[in-house]
Amino acid sequence: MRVPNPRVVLAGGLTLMALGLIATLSRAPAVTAKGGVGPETQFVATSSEASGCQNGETLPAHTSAIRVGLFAITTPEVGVQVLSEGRLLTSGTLSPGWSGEGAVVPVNHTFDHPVSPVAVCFTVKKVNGPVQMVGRKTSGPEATVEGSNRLPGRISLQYVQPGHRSWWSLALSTARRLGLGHATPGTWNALLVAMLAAAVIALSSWLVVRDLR
Amino acid sequence: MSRRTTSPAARARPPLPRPQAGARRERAARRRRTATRTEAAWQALAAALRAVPRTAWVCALVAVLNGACWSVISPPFQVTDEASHYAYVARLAETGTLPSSAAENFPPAEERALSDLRTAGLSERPSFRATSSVAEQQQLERDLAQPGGLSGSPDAGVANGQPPLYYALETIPYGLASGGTILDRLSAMRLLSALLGGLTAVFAFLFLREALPGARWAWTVGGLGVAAAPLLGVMSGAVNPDAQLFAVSAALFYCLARGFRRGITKELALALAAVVIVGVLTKLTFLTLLPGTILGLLVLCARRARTSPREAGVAFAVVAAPILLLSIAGTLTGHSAANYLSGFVSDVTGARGPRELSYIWQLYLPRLPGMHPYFHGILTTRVYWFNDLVGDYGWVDTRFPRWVYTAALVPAAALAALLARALFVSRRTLPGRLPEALVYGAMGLGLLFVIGAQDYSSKLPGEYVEPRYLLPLLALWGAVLALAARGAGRRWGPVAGASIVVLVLAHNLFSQLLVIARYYG
Repeated sequence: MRVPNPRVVLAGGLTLMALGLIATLSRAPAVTAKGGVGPETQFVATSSEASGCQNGETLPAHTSAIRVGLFAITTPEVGVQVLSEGRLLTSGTLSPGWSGEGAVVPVNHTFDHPVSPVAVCFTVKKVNGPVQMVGRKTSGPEATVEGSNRLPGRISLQYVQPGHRSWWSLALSTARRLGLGHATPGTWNALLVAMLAAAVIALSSWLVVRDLR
Repeated sequence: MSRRTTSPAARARPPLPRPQAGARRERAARRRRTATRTEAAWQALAAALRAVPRTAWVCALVAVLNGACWSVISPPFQVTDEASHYAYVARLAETGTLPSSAAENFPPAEERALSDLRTAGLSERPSFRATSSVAEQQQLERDLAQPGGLSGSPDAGVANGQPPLYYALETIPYGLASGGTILDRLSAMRLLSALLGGLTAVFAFLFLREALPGARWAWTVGGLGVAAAPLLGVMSGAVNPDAQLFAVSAALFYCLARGFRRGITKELALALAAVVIVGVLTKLTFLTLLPGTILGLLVLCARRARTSPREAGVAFAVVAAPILLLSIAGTLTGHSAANYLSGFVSDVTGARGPRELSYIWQLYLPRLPGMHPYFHGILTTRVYWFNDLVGDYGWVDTRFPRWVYTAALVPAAALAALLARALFVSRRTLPGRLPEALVYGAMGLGLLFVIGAQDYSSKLPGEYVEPRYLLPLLALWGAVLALAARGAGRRWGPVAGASIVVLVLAHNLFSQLLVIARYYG
């Protein structure tokens, strides 16, 4: 069997990388629908399995995932169910290993129109350490229901939808934002990043061409 | 026969100089000797630098550029604990004293910047974005322009109690950028970390040259695998003593590998001692590598003793002396370094030992029958370590889509298979390298043990699970990549090597895009 030249492999690999880059940037990043309770404050914590339901929610059209306001160091399994008048509309499960504040649970069925009112129920399983619920402190009928009890607040639920604008069309605004909050602000920071990243790839490729024969 | 009291030569000498002139002459001679020694040392250093292959320098340049790139990508203070490390440097630079509190009330200038940059609001909240409007930027610039408020707080958060060497070095760029704002200083300090990233790459390459002398081309694969590793880029693009820890750890592996290949000499022992001193003064985590280092030193000295017991003794004393002195000094002064390892060891040998060992095992590996379960419903090897090494950036809050972690199993399995083949092919030479492998294994186990013990003590499972903690073993990671490339055989090896380098470059590039999307998208 003829062994390919490492240079050809390198060129092929870099081409694949470029194609992957183009494909990634051609995708539209997911966006969060307006409405819903934002992650304002941590209002209750649990160290064991938990569940709850929140009434009076609106499921926006094309919702592909629901971000549930939870935070943990070792993140648990999170399940969601969206119900309308007791009927299951959609559901999903996120296995442990997500990170940061907010468990983004993908749901298995989307609607091309908003559905309201719905109840969003969530479960927290495989708990390894404290899990904090994040949302808005409130009391009374709008608070999240856990079994027969009401929690001291309403958990943050944000509805994630596919975006309409690709990364290409967001490139300039992203580059502008990358230039903010730095020592020497300006869009040129994005250009600097691109040049440095290109230099890393070019130098590494040169070494491969030189040394791997 | 009269006894001659003075020789003809002595009689011919000029009269003895006055004592003052003698002292001057003595001082001049001493200066000449010092100058000669300094010159010799510089010449030796220049010769050592010339002996470093050009490929190693290019790997260093790749690491420096990558660190610099990440330093622009990561928003200020958004790499883990950067605000604390910055506060340590500011305290040292402004007052000449070490911080004395682990609280997080930083100097007013830093607090203003942290507030304007919404540092606390951004960390661990991946749905929030960094500074995104001109109005926010203007507010930041107004606050940055406010004079004063650079010192005044003894707090350094988690950095408090860490040794001062890295922070002392960082006072240089801090001072050089003192005419600018706090963000100018931070940028300059990040660049010093990037340079240290370059040192890590050089030492990792030199380690490969000593440890795997068989195939030169494979050193390039391992060297680039380290230099372009995204996590090294992240940490060497931030103000964090980890940047220096990785460099000094790679240097330690290099010194030991050199000793195993060429035998220990007085010069190597001196270098090893210097590395140990720098490491101990860099970060407490370095202490976790010392038990393995001492084991390595014993093996090397035992080998040397077969031919030259005296030289073996000298080499052992040269390396052991600073370790002993630092231990005594730490114990006498009650510094946290003295309790760092002994505390963990006494825990494990004490009443809670079996439970703690079981916990540490399960932190890395699947639970064995009979073990009490500490992690419910998760495979820690995959969830904690594999996934985190594939990608978990920022404040451990920025991840790829989940399919990426599943897809990453394919190249990981291919690398494992190639590594296994490389070891199988060279099985006849392996027994001879067993002591060396055991030493590296002991160093790795020391590190893993202490991470696990800290996590056990924290009572919050997973609190100390951060992939960067494994980066003192970067030199070994380079060896894994180089061996995997060699595992494809002589004909296919360079092809596998080129594929591995492309994989590392792609990993780095898409990690950068991920972080850009998270903070600025």
